[in-house]
Amino acid sequence: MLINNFIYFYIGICALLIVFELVWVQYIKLYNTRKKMLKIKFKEQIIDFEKGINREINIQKLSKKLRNENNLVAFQSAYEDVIKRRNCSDYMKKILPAFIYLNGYYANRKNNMEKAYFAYVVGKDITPENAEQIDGLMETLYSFLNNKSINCRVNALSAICSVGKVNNVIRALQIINNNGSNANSILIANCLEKFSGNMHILSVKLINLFDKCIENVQIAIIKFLATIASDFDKELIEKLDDEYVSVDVKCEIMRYFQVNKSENMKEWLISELENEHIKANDLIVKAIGTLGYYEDARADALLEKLQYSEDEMILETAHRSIEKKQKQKKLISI
Amino acid sequence: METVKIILNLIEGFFIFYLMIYSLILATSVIVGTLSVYDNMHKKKLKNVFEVDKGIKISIIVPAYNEEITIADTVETLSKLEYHDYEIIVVNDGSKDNTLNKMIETYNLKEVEKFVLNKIQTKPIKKVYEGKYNDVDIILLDKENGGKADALNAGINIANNQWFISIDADSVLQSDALKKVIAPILEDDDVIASGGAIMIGNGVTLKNGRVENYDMPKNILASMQIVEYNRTFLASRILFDKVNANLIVSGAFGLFNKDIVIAAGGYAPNTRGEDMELVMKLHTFCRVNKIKYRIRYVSDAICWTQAPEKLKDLMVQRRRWHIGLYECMNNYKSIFLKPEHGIVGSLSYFYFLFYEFLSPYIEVLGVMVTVLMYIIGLININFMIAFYLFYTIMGVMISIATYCTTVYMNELEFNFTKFLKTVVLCFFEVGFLRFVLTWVRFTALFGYNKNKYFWGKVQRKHMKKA
Repeated sequence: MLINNFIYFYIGICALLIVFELVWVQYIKLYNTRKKMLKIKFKEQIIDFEKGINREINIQKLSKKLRNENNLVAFQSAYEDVIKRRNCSDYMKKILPAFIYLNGYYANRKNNMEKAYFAYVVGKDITPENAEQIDGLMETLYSFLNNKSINCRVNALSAICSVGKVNNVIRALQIINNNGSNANSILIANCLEKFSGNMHILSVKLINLFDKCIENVQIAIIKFLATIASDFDKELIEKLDDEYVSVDVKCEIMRYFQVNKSENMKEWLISELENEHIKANDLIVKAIGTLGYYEDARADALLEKLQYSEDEMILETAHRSIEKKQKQKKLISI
Repeated sequence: METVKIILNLIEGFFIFYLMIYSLILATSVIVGTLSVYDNMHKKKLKNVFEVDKGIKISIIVPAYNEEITIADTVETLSKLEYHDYEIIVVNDGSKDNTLNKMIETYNLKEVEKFVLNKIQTKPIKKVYEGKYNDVDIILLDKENGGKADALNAGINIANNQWFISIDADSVLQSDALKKVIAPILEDDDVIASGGAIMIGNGVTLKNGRVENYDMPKNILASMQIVEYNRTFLASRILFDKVNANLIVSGAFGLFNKDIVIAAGGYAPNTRGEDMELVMKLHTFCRVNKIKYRIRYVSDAICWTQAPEKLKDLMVQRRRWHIGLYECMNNYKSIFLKPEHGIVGSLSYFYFLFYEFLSPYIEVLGVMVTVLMYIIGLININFMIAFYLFYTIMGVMISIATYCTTVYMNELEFNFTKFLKTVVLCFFEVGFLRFVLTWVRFTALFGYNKNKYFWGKVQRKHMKKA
């Protein structure tokens, strides 16, 4: 009977699902056990090498092993554990040729998750000096920046910032600019913060690149500059007067000056708000909010006046700025 | 008599067809849900995840009515999240107990003059208090009682940040929940809301928002609810998420874009399903205004909540949920099968109408017709018993499948004794609790107009801490 067949079919599907689940849970249990053992083996290899007990490593065998994603995960887990407690630079120098093989292998993989993981491993393990010895590593990471997987792109940029020089980072941002809109400013800024070289030199290069960047990259640059306590008042204030710079970028510049206070910016804010030069509402609101971070009698008077604005957002922001100042004053007096 | 036979056969046939379609939907959603969880675990293993703990500023809004037992613990745990840019806003919604003083004393809050612009109309605010704890800003709003939706709206009005999270006062966010729930926003600029998974914490021991131990609760009712929650959150939510057709972001843990919520009108006061109502409102608002949007579900952004341990409390809760569901279905009936509302107006609405709202009525009617047909002698009793038995087994198997997925997802040790206990619980849940709750939902709308605004009282307990 048809209904009976239907019922048996459904029961069959669920039974298969249960069997699959139970088998999978057991497989995961076995995998975790195997991963633990692999990790221990890798750990022993690293520690023995560093202690000078066993300095023989078969690079070809190792690189073949690390082509398997589970082995690479176990290796990485072991390495991260060991470097928490001791320096492993000798070991990394020894196995660097393995990364040359791996670079060629993962560059051509179709699996985007594996590519992303390889980029992650590079970012964690390779130093800038070592990176120069791995032929084509930067090119591989640049190619990942065009990948359709956002995780692959983010891990690649993160790795470039960790292991690359200033020019590598600039080249990476140029590639992102050419890709267009698929670039989250928070993720890019997060990656830039991982730059291991001279932050000041990087920030100068970023400011020089600024005008050629798409909006999200510009915002990311400003976020990054805000976190490293940079000194680009003049350049950023000029952007505020540039009609080709978008409102969102200008708002981000305002946020920068909330963290990195500047006399020039204070004067700019007071002048622009008093003379009502700013037209975009979002920008006015942001400017009023930023003024709340500055101590000045004129700023206070301006905020008092803006409390009575007919625009609700301006009125609210002015009130909040005054409240913030009063709170600051109370804290200072304590 | 022939006519009666035909009618009864048709009803019975419809009922069997209804149950089979439901089973197909459940089985599909469990398969999709399970595969999705595995995919997420694989991504996590290969570091295909974002580890961002700042950048998006969030306001966590905690509406509180008579929550003196849990509120201080909730805020304490919230202040220790693995995230940087957030503030906590507790809205004391005219509590009759000591909620207000508990907060002020525990966190040394000071009264402040605060300008609040009522972008959404709410009941008046009496006082505002502020303080800082563990480097996190805490704002306490004391207002006249207006209900949960009203309290949330008041929180939205005072929130300083572009994104807000609504969370229940008796819930505990896992320490990495914020990092996980913001991930869809980082991936896709069109995301306007992101919901997390609600898990029952009655048997869980938490330390600073991390799971130290996960046991089935001793209370059998709570255990059965775990089975039920697993099925919901690991199955249907994930399936609907794939097609941007989720009608619920749980009120216990949901992240929303403040500007869009305000533009859409905020939470609807005097509704018991304010979480579902808001999501339906957002779907409708964005579709009507042709705004490109996505509402996402993150299965590993976890919020632990307390399940009622007394049957009476559970019945009060489920009655309220069903009334909330009715209100949403009724308020948004105009979107049904309208082309401009796409998959939300067709698949989602259809599912929630027939398989959530109408299901208790259809099931009770089906049982009544079955009994009637047996009395008249029209039914093959062996077949019916076999059918109901198979249907029960199917429900049990689906529940077991989702239990196994939960174990895997939380990287817990698979314990055979616990597994057997779960199998037994699944039978009880599908074979007993489900019928009790079906009856509760069947009678939920009786006296609806008289008791429209009665929320009901549920007993609170502390969650276990290490």
